[in-house]
Order: sequence, then structure tokens, then C-alpha cells
Amino acid sequence: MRPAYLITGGELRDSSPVNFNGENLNISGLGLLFKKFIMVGQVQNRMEENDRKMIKILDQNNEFYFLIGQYFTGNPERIWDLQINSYVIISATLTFKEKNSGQDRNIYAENFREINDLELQYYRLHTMKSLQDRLNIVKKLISSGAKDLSEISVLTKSNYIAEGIYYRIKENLGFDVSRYEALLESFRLSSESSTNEKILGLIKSRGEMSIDEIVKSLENSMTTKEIEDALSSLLNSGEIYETKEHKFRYIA
Amino acid sequence: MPDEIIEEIKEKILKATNNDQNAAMEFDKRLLESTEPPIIVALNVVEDFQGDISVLFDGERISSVTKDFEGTVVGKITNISYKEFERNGKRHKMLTGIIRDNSGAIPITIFDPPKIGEGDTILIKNVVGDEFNNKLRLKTRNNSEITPLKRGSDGQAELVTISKINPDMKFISVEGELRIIEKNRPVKGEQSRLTVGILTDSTGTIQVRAWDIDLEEGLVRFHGAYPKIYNNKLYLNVNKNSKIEVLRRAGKPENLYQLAENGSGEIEINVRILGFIAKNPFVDVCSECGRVVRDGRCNLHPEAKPARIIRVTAIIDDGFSSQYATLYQSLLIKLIGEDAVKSSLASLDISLVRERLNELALNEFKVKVSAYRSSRSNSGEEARTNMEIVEIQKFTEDDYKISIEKLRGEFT
Repeated sequence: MRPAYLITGGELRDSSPVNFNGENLNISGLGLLFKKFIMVGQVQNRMEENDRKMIKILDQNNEFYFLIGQYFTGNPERIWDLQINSYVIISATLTFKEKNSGQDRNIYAENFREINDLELQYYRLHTMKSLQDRLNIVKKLISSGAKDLSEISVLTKSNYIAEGIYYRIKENLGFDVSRYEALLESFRLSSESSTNEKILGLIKSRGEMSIDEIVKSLENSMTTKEIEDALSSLLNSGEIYETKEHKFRYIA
Repeated sequence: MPDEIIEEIKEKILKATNNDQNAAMEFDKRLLESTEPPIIVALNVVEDFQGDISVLFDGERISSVTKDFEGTVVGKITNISYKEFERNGKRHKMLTGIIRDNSGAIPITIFDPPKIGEGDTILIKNVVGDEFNNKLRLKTRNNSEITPLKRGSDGQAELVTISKINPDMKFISVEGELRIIEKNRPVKGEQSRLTVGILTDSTGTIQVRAWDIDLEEGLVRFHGAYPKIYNNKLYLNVNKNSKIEVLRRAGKPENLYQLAENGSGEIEINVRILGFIAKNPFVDVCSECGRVVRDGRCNLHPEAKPARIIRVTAIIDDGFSSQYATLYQSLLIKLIGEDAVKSSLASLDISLVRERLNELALNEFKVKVSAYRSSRSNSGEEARTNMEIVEIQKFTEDDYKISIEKLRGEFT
């Protein structure tokens, strides 16, 4: 079966409906051919309007309404247990309906659960890594000329991933490579600066701290390697310095 | 060696390398250090600067050879084979091989050759063009002069990367990861068998068409492969005259998609469980062998008493494919606890199991999945791949941390 891809809000927003071999699917700007998807984001609100329950989720820059309807597994009342501003992983189906005014996009949630900081980091990185892998394949294909499905499938290691890329090539839909490169770059920068800011904030508030104290304070939400990288970047930028006792102190 | 001869060689080096002064300087440098004849030093320099070696010997570039050609060629000879024949009561030897320079390659037949080894660079004067079976080749005559200039190293042509392959090349050596997409298809009215594969290296991919030979998946090196354009597409043809080295056999499937395609095997991967299906969860199994029994009796152990167990289906997803995988009772107990399983078995009500499983949906797991092909010949359905989870472990905090480190390392 076609996988439920981890997708960024940016790529989901770019997606449009397509009839692929008789199946109603969606295709993203980078050739992700899908119906189901998985996203992580922050709960902005949960509501009920005209008997329709829905959750508003913010993925880094984009907000989406997830309807709790026919595809939802489990008890729909669970949405009221969700804390505002908490983070969730949510599986859903994207459908489009033709309307006089154009196409109406509906996202139907299938399942969700709250996640902690560590899981959030994992899913965000995983989503971006998958995007990066597909982008690299597309770039490789662009530089070496159009390829057929079996060749793309070797690179993607799955026919499901290859089909969408091949579809965009065959239908001359093109790939907005620079847009997705920018998306990756913005994620890279934001994750770097948010880690640094978090650690700098901690050190500022305590005056000085050792690595062990920082790890403990962050309650395992960051790996030791990430903390070391952030400390090294803060040391290099002159925002902190290391004392003789191997503690880090904020330079006021 | 008189200076004028050295100067003449230097002039030829410049001509052969499009006036590359560095090549001429390199020649001067090497000449001082080398004990080899100046023309061989020049040959090495021109080869290293990717120049035209035919200029050094007033010869013809191999790509320019026609069937009316008569003259001198110089190049590396590979794919050598010998035949002996008798003519006018006298035994003769015939060498066939491929001679190449950096402009191209062409088959060659040399009658009564001197000692020539694979990969040797040879100079042949008074060689002629010829057509055999509508294919262009070179052949020597009685007045041909053959001079081995340089011994070959490994006897094979230098490896070409996939992005550099072009239709003008012939008999190239190329290496990459091969995946077979079609095996032994009869063509030309069953006269030939064609195996098609995709060869990938870091620079690109090319379709390989193997005629009347077997291919193996894995890291493969082809020698004597010839690129060809067909329907505006570049292919790499190999046949029984090509040499194929399997440097590393294909490993196990890497993901769920490949496992399903393989139809058998086992992989250990990280998956996300999208949900569970508990349709007909109660089954009877043989207490001896554990096989599902029908009509209350095991065919192999008719005396053994059947035991009732619970099995469910998990929808597992690794980002390459989603698959249904059976999860038997022993692993179910590990995931949701013995109390839920026992209580469901006692009441034949699956709701508690369902409830506990739903709490696990959209979580990450380390699993070992086994695949096997089942054929449904009775109903006429095609064989399909079934999967079973044989080991399962929910991600721990450490698993997330390790995965984050790994993803960070791969995210450039």
C-alpha cells in the first residue's frame, strides 16, 4: 500500500488533486503522490461548528484545519482532551471536492496523539530528511535528463515514491527546486537558532552552568551532542565563555 | 638522443594536448627522471593529460577509422582471445580484441601477432579497415608492423562513470549497483533472452540490457559493455563477450517496499504503526506446532489439542510502503500486557485489546518483519506477500535520541 508520508505544511499546501490510474490522489510540487499523510504540529484550537468537530494545527508556518469525520478511528470526543499549544502527531487524508467557486480542500484526521519535545524533534527532522532525500533525487534526475519509472524507482527505493516524481516529469509539471531548498534552509536555520536560544536562556537565568546541569534542566529534550554543538556555537560567537571549572557563563 | 628529436616529440605533445604547455613541461621533468625511451615518456604524458596519442605516432584516431582506412593506429588492446587455424599446411595464430584510444574503440584482428597481453598499448602500422557482418573492424596484413609500447596494468579498460557514457563509446568498463527489473524475456522469436537491469553509480543511472547472459543484483563491474541509442534512449548492452564481475552480491531488502517485492526474507527496521485491525482475532492453533488449525484438528498433529489464541493485524509504515503484518499473541502480550489478552480470550470480547492497541497507534517501533509468499491457486488469485512481525519493541527515549543523532548527521 501507498505509505502515509511525513509531510511539511509547505508541501501539503502545494498539493493538488490528481487522478492517478483511476485512483483519486494528490500530488505535491516535489512529486509526492499521496492520499494519507502524517504531520506534526502545535494544537492551536479544537472546535465544533455545525456538528463538525475539528482541530486547528500549526506546522512551523502553516495552519490547517483537520476535520474529525468519517475516517477518524477511535472516539472523536478525544479532541477535547488535547491541550492548546501542545504538540501532536496526526495522520490524515487530503481530499478535494469540486465546487462552483473552485476546489474545496478537506483534511480528514484519522488519528492523533500528543507528543513530547523529543518526539517533536524526531518527527520534524525525519520529515525534513525525507524531503531532502527526495529533493536530491529530483536534482539528480534533472541534471541527468528525464528517466523512466524503473530507473527512478531504483533511486527512491520504492515505486510509490518514484511514481509521483515520474508523473511530474511525464506531464511536464516541473519541480520548484529552489522553493524546497529554501524550505530546508529555513528549517536548518530555525532549528539551530532555537536550540542556541534555549541554552543561552538557561545559562543567562542561572548565571553559570555545567553540561550536566544543562542536560538535566532540558529534561532530555535535547541530545548531549546537540547541546555540545550549541555550546560550541555560542562560545564561537562570544555569547558565553567557559570557566576553569568547565562551567559556561553568559557574557553580559 | 639528439635534441631535435626531443624537440620534435615536444611539438607533437603540444599538438596532441591542444597546446597544453604544462604537458610539455611535464615531459621535460619526467624525461630527466625516467629510463624509458622519450616516446614512451611522451605517451604517458599525453595519456595523463587526456590528449590524442595518435598524434605522437602520426596515426589516425580510432573514431576516424573507416572501412577504406589504411595506415597507423595506436591504442590499448583488451578483450583478447586467440584462435589457431591452418592455411597452406602452415599453422597460424589469430588474435581478436578491442583496440581503443580516448576517441573510441574498434574490434581488431591481428594475424600471427607478437606477444601481446591484455591492456597493452600497441602501435600498428599498415593496418586496414574492414567490414565483417556489417560491422567495422581493423585487421592486419602481411606487411603490418606491430609494436607493443607499454604493458597493461590490469588488462581492463579504465572505468567510465555513468554520466560520462555516450553512444559513441564502445566496449567500456563501468561499475555500479545493479537492480534487475526483468529477467530472461524471450525476444526475436525465442532466439534470444533479454535481461534488463538498472545500473546506478554516484553520477547517474543507465538501463542495462543483457543478451543471453545472466545478471546478478549487487555491486557489479561490466567490461566490454557497449552503449547504444534505441528509441532516443541510451542503453548499455552486454552480451556473452562482455565480462561481468559481481563485486558484492545484493544485500537483504532495505525497506518494506523491497521486502514486499522480494516476497520472502526478513528485515529489521523502524516503523510507525498507523493502526491495528482486529477482525476475526480469535484463532485455534495446534498446541504442538503452533500452526492455525481448521475444523479443530492439525493435519500434522491430529492428536494434539488446539489452543485458542488472539492475533491481530498491524498496519506498519516505514515511509516507503505501508503493509499489513500479522502480530501473534506472544508479541501482543509484550505490547499490551497479559491481563488484557487473557481477559479478552476468556470473554471472547476483543474490546480491551483494541483499546490498549489504539493507545499505541502512531508510535514508532523497532520491528523484525518476516515475509513469505502465499499462492492462492485454488481461487485463481496471484501469489501475494504476507508479512508477520516476529520481534517488536516500542521506541524508548534512547531510541529517539539515537535516531535524532543519526538524522542530524544525515541532514546536511
